[in-house]
Amino acid sequence: MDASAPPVLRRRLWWHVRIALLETRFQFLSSLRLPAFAVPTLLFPVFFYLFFAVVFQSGGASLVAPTYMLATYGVFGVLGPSIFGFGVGLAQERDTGALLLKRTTPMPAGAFLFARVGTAAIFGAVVVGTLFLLAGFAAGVELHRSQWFSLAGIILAAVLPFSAIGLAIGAWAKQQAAVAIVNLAFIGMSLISGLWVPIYMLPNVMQDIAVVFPTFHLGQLALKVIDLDLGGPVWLHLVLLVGQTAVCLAVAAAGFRRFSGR
Amino acid sequence: MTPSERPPWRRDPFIAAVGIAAFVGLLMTLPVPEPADPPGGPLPETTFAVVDVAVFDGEEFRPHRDVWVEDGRIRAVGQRLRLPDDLPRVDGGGHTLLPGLIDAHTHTYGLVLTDALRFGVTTVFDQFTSPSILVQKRAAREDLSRGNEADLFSAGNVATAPGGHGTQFGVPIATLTTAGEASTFVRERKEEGSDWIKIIWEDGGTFGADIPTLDRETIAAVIEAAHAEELLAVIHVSTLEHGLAALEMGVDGLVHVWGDEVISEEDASRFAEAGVFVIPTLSVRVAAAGESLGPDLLEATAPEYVSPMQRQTLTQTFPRPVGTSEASIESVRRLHAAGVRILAGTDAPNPGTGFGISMHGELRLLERAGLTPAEALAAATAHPPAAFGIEDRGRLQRGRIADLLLVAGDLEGDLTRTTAIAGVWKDGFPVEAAWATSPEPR
Repeated sequence: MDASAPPVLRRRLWWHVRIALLETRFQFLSSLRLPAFAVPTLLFPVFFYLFFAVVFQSGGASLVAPTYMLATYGVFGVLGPSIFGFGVGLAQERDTGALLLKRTTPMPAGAFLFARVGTAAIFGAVVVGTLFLLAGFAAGVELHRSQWFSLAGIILAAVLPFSAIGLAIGAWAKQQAAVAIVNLAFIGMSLISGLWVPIYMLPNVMQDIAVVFPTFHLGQLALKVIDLDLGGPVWLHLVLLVGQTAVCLAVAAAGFRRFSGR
Repeated sequence: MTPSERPPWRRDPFIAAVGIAAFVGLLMTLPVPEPADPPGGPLPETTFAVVDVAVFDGEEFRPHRDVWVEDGRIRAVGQRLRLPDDLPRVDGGGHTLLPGLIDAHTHTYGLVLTDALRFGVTTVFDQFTSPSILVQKRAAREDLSRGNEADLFSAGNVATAPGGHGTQFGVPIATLTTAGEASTFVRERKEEGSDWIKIIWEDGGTFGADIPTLDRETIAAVIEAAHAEELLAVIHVSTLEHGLAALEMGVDGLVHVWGDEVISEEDASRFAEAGVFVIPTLSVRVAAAGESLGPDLLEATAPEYVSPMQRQTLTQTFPRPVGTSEASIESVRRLHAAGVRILAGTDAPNPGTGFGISMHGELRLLERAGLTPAEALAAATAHPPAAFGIEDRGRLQRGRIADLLLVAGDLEGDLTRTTAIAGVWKDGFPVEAAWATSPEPR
């Protein structure tokens, strides 16, 4: 290898990191300035948790409900920013031509994706942080330190599979349709996967359908940390999650090829 | 403005690092559970909780439960209970907590109630003892103060013929001969404090003897008289034929399974339809057949936990083999399959059995007869009190007496773990494990 290569490589790597972080900053700021995005994604899960887990459960004999809902509303909390950011945001940028403009700049495609995922993760972290504070200091939930960290880790990792869903929708749907489809997916998947109402309270048919959705598997993995899951093996949830994410990415790739060929 | 012109604290990597640090810091401040002590040390008493333990509640196994005991009674059982911060806690991780065992067939004398308690048997249903013991022990059943004996419920003086089975122990007991004496006999037992009536139907045929026994007419009359006094009537039989005849007479339960032949599936169904319960006492049945579990139980238990009397009775043998263990175990299998309620009982301290310790063998024998671990444990916890109409024990349930057995391991997967005793509580008080005061923790 050429003697001058390492510094150059280092410089290029740094350049990529800087671009990615910069794009994330701007993506985050623009999302924050879009109340239609920021308000529901931040407030929905927090208010749900406040009412159903803190207010309704105060003084209860058991902490099962607030603990259970911490896991499910946490997953719900990252679902919003992930699929709205990609699903609606991407469709919008494509239809308005902003995406085409970005493609003419030297910005690598990786930075674009990183910024979207990063923005969803930041919003997700804010939601998770708020939910955890409410759970720990208002609802009375107590977890072992390792459980707090595992739960936070699993919930934030959910940004990746959820972003893939958003990407698949955003790659195909027109802007107006994307809003409807994303909302449908957001509400439908949350409900069927037991993120709003515990899954064991739902009819068995819905439980069977839920297996199709990544939301179900993320919910179960998060609940496993606190011993409240349905008892499926971790590896099976992971295998299905990876498979479902691969399908979403393939669908998204096909959508982009169609867009580029037009 | 390009990034390089920003002051360092406004640069993206710095902001990202601060954000991540803040998030981790938040996770570090969130509340964690109050520390719980592992069961190795001294155990708390009367008011405490066993947390994150697998429970057997009397019916089924449930993982990750908290059990909250208050003033010697169970206050709550559930997941993630909201417990007071200052409540003493035992960490139940890797352990199973179950109601104290109930031996539904024993005979009480000497220190046997202490021996029973050390092995997690917190209540015994005695099937023949001196009425004076019965009166003496009665108060302790309701009393939740510290004690070192299992609670006693008893038939007291059995209904047997003069010179019959039960009269050979050198203690004078009341007997009867004719059906006409039945109602007086039963009323006297009730006044004496008998909790139910036990009838002996034993002519000695199965062990080559010829001993006097009650005739059928008298047995039927005693059953009827017991029911008139609102008492249960249970019966000792040694043969299938006598068991079926007692069933026809309206008996409530059998305190042994026979050892002479295997019951047919049709006859087993008749027991189920009549709602008659059976206490097979397989421990004594296999011992009578010459296959006592005594040596196995002694080998599995550290010597300092076995009293001299337990050791003595466990190693005793019957003079000659009576019946076969196959006939007894296969009959229990069919009775259980037909839906008959099976209760665990040992007939301790007969030869080959030991008070308390043999209940752990009885559970294994019931498993051998086709009961699942949960069914075998139900036969030793929730079912005996239900069958005998006693409501304050046998389940991990709000309001029940805190008679508890904590064992290391998962009983659902391995029922032999019942001998890995990590703690016994009677009325919420921890019980000393060794028979003599021993400095060695278990």
